[in-house]
Amino acid sequence: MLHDAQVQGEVCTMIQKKYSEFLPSLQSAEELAAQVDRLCGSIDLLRAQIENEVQRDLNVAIAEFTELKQQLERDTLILSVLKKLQEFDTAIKDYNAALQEKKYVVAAQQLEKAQSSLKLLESRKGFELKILKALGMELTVQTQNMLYQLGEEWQKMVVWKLPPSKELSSLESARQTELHLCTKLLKEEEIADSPVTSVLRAFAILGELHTKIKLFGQLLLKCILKPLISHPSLQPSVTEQPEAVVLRFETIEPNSEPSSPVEVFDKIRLVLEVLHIQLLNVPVDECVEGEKDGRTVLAQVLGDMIWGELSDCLIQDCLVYSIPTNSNKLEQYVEVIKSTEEFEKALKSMCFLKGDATDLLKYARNVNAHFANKKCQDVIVAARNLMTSEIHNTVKITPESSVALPKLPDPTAGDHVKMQKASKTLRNEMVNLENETKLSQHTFSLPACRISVSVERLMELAYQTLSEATASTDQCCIQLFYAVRNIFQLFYDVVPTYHKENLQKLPQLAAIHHNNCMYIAHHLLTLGHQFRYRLTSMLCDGAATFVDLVPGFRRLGIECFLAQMRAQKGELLERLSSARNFSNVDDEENYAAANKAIRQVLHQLRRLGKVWQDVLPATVYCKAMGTLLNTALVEIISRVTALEDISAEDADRLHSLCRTVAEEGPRVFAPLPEESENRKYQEEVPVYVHRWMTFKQLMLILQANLQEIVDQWADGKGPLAAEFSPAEVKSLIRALFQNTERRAAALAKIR
Amino acid sequence: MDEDVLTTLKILIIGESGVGKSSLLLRFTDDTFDPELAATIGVDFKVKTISVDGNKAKLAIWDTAGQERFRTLTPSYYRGAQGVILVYDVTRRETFLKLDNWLNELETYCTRNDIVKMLVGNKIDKENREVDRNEGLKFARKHSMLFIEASAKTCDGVQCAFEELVEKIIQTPGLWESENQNRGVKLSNKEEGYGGAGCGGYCSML
Repeated sequence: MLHDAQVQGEVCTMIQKKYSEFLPSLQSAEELAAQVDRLCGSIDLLRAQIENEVQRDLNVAIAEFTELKQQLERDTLILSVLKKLQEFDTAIKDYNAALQEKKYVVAAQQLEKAQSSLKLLESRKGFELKILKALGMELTVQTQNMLYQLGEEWQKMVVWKLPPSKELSSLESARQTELHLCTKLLKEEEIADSPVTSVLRAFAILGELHTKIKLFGQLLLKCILKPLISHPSLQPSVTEQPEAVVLRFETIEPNSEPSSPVEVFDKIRLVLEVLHIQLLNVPVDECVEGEKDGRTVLAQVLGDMIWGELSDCLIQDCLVYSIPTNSNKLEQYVEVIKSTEEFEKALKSMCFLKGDATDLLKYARNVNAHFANKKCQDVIVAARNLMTSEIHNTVKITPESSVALPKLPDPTAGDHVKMQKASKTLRNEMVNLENETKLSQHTFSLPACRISVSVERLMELAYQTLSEATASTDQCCIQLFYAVRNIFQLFYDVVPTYHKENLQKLPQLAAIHHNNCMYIAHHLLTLGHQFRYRLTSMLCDGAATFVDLVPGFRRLGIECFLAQMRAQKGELLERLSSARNFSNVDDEENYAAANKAIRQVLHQLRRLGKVWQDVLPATVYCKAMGTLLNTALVEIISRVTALEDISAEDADRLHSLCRTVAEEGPRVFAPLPEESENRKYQEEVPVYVHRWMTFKQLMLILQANLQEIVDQWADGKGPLAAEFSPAEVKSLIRALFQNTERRAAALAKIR
Repeated sequence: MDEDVLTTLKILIIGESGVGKSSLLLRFTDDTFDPELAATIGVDFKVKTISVDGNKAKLAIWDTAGQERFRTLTPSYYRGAQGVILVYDVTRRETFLKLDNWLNELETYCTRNDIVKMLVGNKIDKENREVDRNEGLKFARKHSMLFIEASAKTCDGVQCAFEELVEKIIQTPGLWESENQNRGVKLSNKEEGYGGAGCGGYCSML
């Protein structure tokens, strides 16, 4: 217990001690805490105060700074603008001063400077000053002013005197054209400082040189160069006056032929040389002086502008005409090539032409190809014109005429004679060997007939072209050879199409066309051989032939004529179809119909015989007429043999109808214009008309008695048996004769 | 009247133009003579019945045109011919020289090999003879032909020429009978005898 009390006391003291110690410190701590709290509050307050105040000041400062900065920028800008404006102003001032002193290059440079200043000013965005507009206007005015002055100067230096009329290309107006050059440029050293140089360079600086020179170039082309090319009678003349050099035209005696390239080149060279001395040798760019190679000369500018057109013009209006149309003139063309080369060289030395430009020379050197092209074109055009011309203008071809070849040149003619000689000796040998079998000299000739004049010309054209080919270079030769082949292929396509309707409609044209084709085929057979050893070696090994075209041409002629024959045959049969089968011709109406049909047939044949007369070769004529007459006869024979009953009067009338045909038929055979010469052909009608004998036998039966018929039959060995079958003859006998014993006996003998 | 006719024979007359073929025929069939006779065009035909050794034969005589221009027609006439009379003009040597050609043509177109040929030298009435009789005879012998000289004008040898020809045809076995068999005409064997006697015979007028 004591212990407890002790402890309690101890604890109590302890506690008392502790509290007495603790409480004051707590108090002071609390005081301190309160103090700290107060301090904190005042610190916060102070901080807030400070923050408030500094922030405000900062904002102000920033705004102030920005403002100041902007002001600085503005000032700098204004300063630069003012500087530029000053530059501009100085430039304009300098320009004005320079212009007054006619230092055009300086003036132009100043203007350019002003221009660039202005551009710089204008390039600033959102910075539009009214003054800029005004300055711009001022600059434009000054530029125009300067250009005007330069233009004036230029016009004083280069004076055109043009004719009033607008037709600049005519000879008359060309004669009134003059060009005065007052540039007084004579020596190399003076060139750089001369007024013309300064004017041109000023133009160049202002960017107007090209426009100016273009205008000048156009005038030069139109009024001087082109007339010189196209009017051979014009001659340029240069006169030196104290102040100027005058270029004008003189006319020499008019010459209708296009002038030779050599002359034209000389003229143009003369003009360009004058221009060169007076004007074109001027350097137009500002680069290092004294270094001639690096400079652009006016000539170069002008050349770039007009050379294309000028060279085209030279080719089209001068060189093209100078291409020879005849191969023997081709060699002389070397001169033209040489002068072309010189011409281009001269232009190059004047810097008018760039070093690598050889348009003209290339063209001229290619003369062989141009010649061939031109020739081939001419040949084909001529051939086509011939093909589309009238077929009915004809010329008579006889074996004698076809022997003579149309105008071959001398070497060919010489060979021809040789060939003839050779064949003559050959013939002589043959005669020695075998006397009897001598061929006629016309054995392989085309028979006499009429062909179109145009086709004869066409053939001449082919021969002429081929003989020119023999005198040409290889390439040209080949081209010409194929041009000739093309002629014939063209004929093959063009003629039947172009004349299609007439060839169908008109039997005479069909006949002439047939002859034309045969005539061409006839020549094609030997055409290749005649030129074989004279054409270029490339064509020698078999290529140079026309023989392959022969069958086509023959077919062409035959087809056309056969079509005509078919048409005529159809017409004949149609006429005969109105003869009412020749039945019951004892009836007047039937007889009239049959008679009319027969007369129509004869009329048609007579008409054909007339239009083919002297046109077709006699043999072809007779074959054609024979075939047509035969068609009519076959039709009549088949109609009459089919009749079942022929009264005596029928027989008489049928016989008389047949007699008309038998008498008139041969008369339509008149292949020759001389009537007396045709008798021969009329006698030969049995040869050409296959069924002529049959027809004659039919006539015989119509008028014969039973015994005569039996005699003609002659046990199947007579002519009647040769033409008719037993059944046909029996049928005819039954139709013609009444049923009697005699008839039965006769019928029994026909077998 | 035809009933007693043994057979119908086809006879052809050929030869150069103007040797007198048509005149010979006219003299034979009509017993007339025309010195101005026109040239034959194409072909002519006559029928005549002739009696040889008691055998009646009907002759169908084809007179062809000699002119070259009608030659294309003639080949068809050769068909079935049993006898041919080949004529030349004794006053024109060229007509004799052309005989080879005619024989050639005959051989080419003739449809039978045993055709009987008679060579006739015409116009012996004329003075200017160019072909000797012996030449003709020799030529005929060489080519196994009958031979006779004749004159259509004076009638000399004309009848004989036809008769000899017909006789020879009838003597030739197989030349004419075969086609008559179907008519029912029986042929006796007597031809065989003729055949032996007639072979190689060159008929001569004199």
